[in-house]
Amino acid sequence: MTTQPSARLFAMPSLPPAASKALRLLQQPRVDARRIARLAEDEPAWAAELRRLAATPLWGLGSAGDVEEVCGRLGFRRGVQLVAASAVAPLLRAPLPGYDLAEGELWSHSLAVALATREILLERGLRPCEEAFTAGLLHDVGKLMIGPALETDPVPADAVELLVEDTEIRAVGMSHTEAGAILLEHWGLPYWLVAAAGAHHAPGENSYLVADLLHLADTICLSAGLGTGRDGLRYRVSSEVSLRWNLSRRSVERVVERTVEALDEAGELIPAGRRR
Amino acid sequence: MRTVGISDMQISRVPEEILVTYSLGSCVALSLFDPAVGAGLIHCMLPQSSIDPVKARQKPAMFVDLGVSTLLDAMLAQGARRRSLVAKVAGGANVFDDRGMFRIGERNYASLRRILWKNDILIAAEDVGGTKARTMYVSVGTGRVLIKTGTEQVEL
Repeated sequence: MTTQPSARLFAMPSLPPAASKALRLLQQPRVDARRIARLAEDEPAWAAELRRLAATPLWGLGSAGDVEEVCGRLGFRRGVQLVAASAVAPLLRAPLPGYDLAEGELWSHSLAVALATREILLERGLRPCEEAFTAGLLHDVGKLMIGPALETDPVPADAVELLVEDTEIRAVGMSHTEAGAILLEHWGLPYWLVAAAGAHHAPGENSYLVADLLHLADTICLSAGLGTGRDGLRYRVSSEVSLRWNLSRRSVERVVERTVEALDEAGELIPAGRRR
Repeated sequence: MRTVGISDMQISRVPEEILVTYSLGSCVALSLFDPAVGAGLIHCMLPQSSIDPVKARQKPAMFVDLGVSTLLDAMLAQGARRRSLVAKVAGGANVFDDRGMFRIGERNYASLRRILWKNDILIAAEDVGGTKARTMYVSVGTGRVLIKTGTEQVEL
């Protein structure tokens, strides 16, 4: 599908090994929460992150007990979300100077995109799609690969009117969407997630629900200034996706409002690096 | 340094203080400065409060049409004089969107100009539109405004 990145330029970030095993395990149709809990026993830092996130309004379990109880109470699809979120959160919270993203900014943006997929569906009178939420959490992991290279190979000054993906390719030879697809595949995540992350800036006419939602949600969050960094708003909205969803301006504005409110309620609106 | 968040406004009378608002994408920020009083800064996210009247009462700064009037009233209540106010504006960027569905920045800026015009306030300087994400710094003591975009910095 894509060429492998050069090892000289790109390092592939790793997930906590137990979390990685849990994510692979959760691709099976039925998984006992006790098996996830046993994996968590080997990795206390990941388990603590999982329990901490479960207690936030995003997963709403308050003072939940151990990992087995958390996974049991959330159910399968929201359990997958939580395992994915707790696995990538420490990576996404780190500052990313290559993109001019402060500590916590990429994590805040990823949560915002996940929340926006939910709000778009609710605005259209549809039920939230848990898979789209998970994809929202993971859609920009490619920036973890490209970011360090952008520190040493910055975008040329004359590239300010180019799309972000084009400037990434000019600067380091690969876009963050392409890198994201490679990384998610490397982590052993399912193909629908790999494809959605790889296409989230250009879903095209043969797209499907999750990729469309990621595209709309990402556009909405970037417009609201959530996670823009150095790239600003140099993104193009897909005409095909606009036509398929046909959201009114007021609908878009309501989604912006509710997404920002939900992010604020989760305590993640102001990234750690911007708090004083 | 005092941070003005999204859908937030702050007024300061402390000359040494800097007001800052980060990550202005399509949002617009307005600074109002009166040398006798100090400076106010607001970061508005959406153009019209009519989309959510309940939220508008709770968080007027979220909406340009309500937030700008609220900031102006608060500055006047602190002793600022309308004819002394210096208004500077930043933000209002847009993604590339042929169908116009996501051009919130344009609508925010249009709403802001309308409200300022109704209140007889001219914009002294602005850095708006395009695709840049901006950070706005306002010096309370001097009213100087700096706009930072990536590694670039300009004074308004």
